[in-house]
Amino acid sequence: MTPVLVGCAGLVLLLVLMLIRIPVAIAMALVGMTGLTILNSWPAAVATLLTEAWTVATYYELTVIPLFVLMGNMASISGMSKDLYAAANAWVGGVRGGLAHATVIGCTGFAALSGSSVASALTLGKVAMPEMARFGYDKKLSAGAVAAGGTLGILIPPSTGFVIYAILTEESIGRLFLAGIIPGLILATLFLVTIYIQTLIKPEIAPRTKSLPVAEKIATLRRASSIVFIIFITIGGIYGGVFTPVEAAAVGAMLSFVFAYFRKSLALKPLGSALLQSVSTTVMIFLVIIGANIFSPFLALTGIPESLANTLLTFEIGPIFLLAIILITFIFLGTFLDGFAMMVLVLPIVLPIIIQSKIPELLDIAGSESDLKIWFGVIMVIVIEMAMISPPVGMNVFVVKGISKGISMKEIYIGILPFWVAMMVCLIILITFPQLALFLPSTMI
Amino acid sequence: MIVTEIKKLIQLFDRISLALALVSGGVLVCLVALTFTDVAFRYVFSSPFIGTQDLIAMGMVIVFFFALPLTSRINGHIVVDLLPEFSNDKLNMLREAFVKFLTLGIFMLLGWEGVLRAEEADMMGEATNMIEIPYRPFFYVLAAGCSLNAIILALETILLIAGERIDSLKIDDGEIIDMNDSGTKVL
Repeated sequence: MTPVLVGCAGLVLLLVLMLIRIPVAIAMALVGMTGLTILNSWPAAVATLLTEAWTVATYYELTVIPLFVLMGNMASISGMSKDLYAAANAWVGGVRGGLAHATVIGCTGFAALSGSSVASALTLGKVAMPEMARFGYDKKLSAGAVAAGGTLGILIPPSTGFVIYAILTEESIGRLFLAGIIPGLILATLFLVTIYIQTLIKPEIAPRTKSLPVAEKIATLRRASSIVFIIFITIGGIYGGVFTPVEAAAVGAMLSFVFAYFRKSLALKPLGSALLQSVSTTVMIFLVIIGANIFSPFLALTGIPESLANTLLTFEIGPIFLLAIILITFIFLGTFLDGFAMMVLVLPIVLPIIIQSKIPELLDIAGSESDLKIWFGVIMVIVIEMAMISPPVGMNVFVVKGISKGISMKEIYIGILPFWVAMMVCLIILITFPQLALFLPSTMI
Repeated sequence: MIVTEIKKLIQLFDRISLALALVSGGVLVCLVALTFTDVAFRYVFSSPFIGTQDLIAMGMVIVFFFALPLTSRINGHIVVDLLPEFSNDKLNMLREAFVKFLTLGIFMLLGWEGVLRAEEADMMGEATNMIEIPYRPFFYVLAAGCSLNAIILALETILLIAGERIDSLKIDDGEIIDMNDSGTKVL
């Protein structure tokens, strides 16, 4: 049996194991170990298992994940999300569709505190959904705004998606974080435009609410200033070279603790819950990385990525067409695969193809493999965002369903569709102007 | 009779898993404080701590492996639930038993290898670079977390083969852990 055949059999086995609902990390570890045993030896496979588990657990850079997750959870229990939404609502609530706009703006702000889309959708959704229902907003618009707005959590730094991508591609976490800022703001703006267009066509889906006096508006900004301060310190600290991402995460988590304490929201139960959620999220992410790190050497030994790259390149497919094929495949896979699972599974195969293809020339970044990886990281995270709101397995859709009453899955998906189109537009913008993602990392101190 | 005993045993291990996960959370808070203090000392007093990275690396071993059993019990792992469940629940139980059996295999192996590696690390005098924290106890932490996870998975597998199932745990905002099966709160 040739290595390529072993690799193909391994991929089929992986699919079967995942279909019978073995956790993705375990499926990758099982297939990786079986493959390494066949192509190398059992002791090598066992050594890989132990080494990867130990290396991932002790990998200093990865500490950024639990620290930022904790920061987001603390921000959530301390009521910062409510202040954020209240401030956004005070300033844009008066315009048509204002509450939906405020939801997206609130999500954008919370995304800068949280690295998780699910956490962003859940936290802001709990505040925004009842408010939109109270003012008679169309359920589909409300659901779409929360589910889509929540996805900004993994594009705007800090982002767990970027950390995993950075580990898998050996890229700088800090540079990837910065690369997500401008695309994140563009996407948030596109979401706002989407809401504006919808409310322009059908004004009845978002009744106008009363505008607040300026004094009250300023008061809400003052209450939200602690959040702005944390965001400024953490993200600004990384950009200015004051902190490493791990240090920024620790400082952010500490500040969230301090603010939670002064807001008297450090009760034992929510604190315990926030800690347990933070450590279990860490285990989930670390285990996937361990699985991927066992599966990847096996895949490399089979030679499948190179064979696939060579085969595709011999067809002399144009770079635009090749990129379109890759993105359509990702979007298709994302409709039924978890976003992170898709990334760890497909990245080892696709990245070598992109690097060897003419896509870098198309983007005018042929000189730097690092720039290419960073740009593709942003694209990858947006595709994961799309996966999170695509049927049948869209995590953010389940979140919205869980926090709102009397809305069907069909209604949520209909509400999401315009936002999904906005994400496609954002992808096209970033392919046309890759510098939008690369500008901030290039000016990083 | 045996089924009841196994359920009680799983509930006992759930309490241990929860205690370990809380230790894991406590260590995570310590890591936040340590890194924050390190940064503050570096900028305010121009004297960073020596060995912060070593302490963080070893602390993360506790954070990860002590939270592992609870994460499994709250179904916290990424699963692709693309295909619908079987209409026959017996078939679902057999599938779940097979899944848990394969999963426990990985963790049992990892736990055992962790013990062997702990002894090897002790013999070789392996330790962290800066402040020479010995690896041995932390390989035991790895082994303990994986072994407890494997034991719970083994008990769940036996239960499923016997045609019974114990519900997974939940982390709620208000109530930390809710035991769905018996309705009793763990904490």
